[in-house]
Amino acid sequence: MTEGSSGEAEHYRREAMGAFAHEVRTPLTSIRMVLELARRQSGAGPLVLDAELGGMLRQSVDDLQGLADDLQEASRLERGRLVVGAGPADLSAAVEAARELLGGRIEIAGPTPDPIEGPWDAPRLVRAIAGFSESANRIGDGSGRVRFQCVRGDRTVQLVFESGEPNDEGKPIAADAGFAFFRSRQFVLAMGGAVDCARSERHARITATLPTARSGAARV
Amino acid sequence: MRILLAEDERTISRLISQVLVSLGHNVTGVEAAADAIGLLRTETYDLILLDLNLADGDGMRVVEELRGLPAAATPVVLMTGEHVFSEDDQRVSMVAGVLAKPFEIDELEQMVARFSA
Repeated sequence: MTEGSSGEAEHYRREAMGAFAHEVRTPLTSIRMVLELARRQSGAGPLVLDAELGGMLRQSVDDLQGLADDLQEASRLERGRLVVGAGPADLSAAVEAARELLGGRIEIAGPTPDPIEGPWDAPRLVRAIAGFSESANRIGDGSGRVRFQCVRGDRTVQLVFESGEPNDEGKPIAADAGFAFFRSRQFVLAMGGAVDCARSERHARITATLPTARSGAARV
Repeated sequence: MRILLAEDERTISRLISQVLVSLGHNVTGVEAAADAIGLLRTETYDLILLDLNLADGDGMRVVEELRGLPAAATPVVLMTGEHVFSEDDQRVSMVAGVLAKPFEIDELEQMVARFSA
């Protein structure tokens, strides 16, 4: 699906909210369980957290904070309340930084592209590359390996993230792509680009198209 | 009981394990659907606690693969954060129970107790 119509934009917004609502429940579950375990361990006395439970609580709160920050950032970008950096940024450095950010959880398989400079917000480009890799793996074959390709066009560059093998069972992009997909998509739109996702059963192909030269107003 | 816990969020996995072990259960934890399926081919469990979204995709894949294994009768409890997981969802009919995140420890204990008898 390629965005463009207001119906598609609404579809993406709805699915992004669904993804967020789903993901926020994970740290909430941990927080509830930590507090209940601490209550049980503390008996009738004051609530005491041991080091292990304290560490779990901190991690869960950090995860919740990260999700809230991501949602606010995506929302502000969509409403034009946040301006992204205009670079120049180097794509090859961004791909390497995304690999590092993923820390081996997901392999971005494919050659690092030759240095290409563009009017991009470097930190958000890195997060978008990592986010699309996570999403492609999640809705693709889940192997932890995402095939990456960089295709240079006339005034654009396409970043292609693919997992699994295409088949006939076409599926729309939905909340199960994870909030990382929707956040990354918003980054690309704010940089004047576009995102397309072709999806079938255990297969995903996400294509992010970025301008290589500065143009007029960014699409947000 | 021997319980297979398939959950890719490590904090939740550790917390659930802690609760279940304190109740005297034997818990084996995995993070990926492929690992769960691999264990179910060779090991026997009394209960499977299965997260719907695992590191390598949809947890329902485990339910579908389980049907073709000798362990097909093992009850599966699905753990999910899907707020629209309605009773008439086909997936509900494929499992023995559903724990909707965020759930309380009491709910977890009650659910597991259903299969302890």
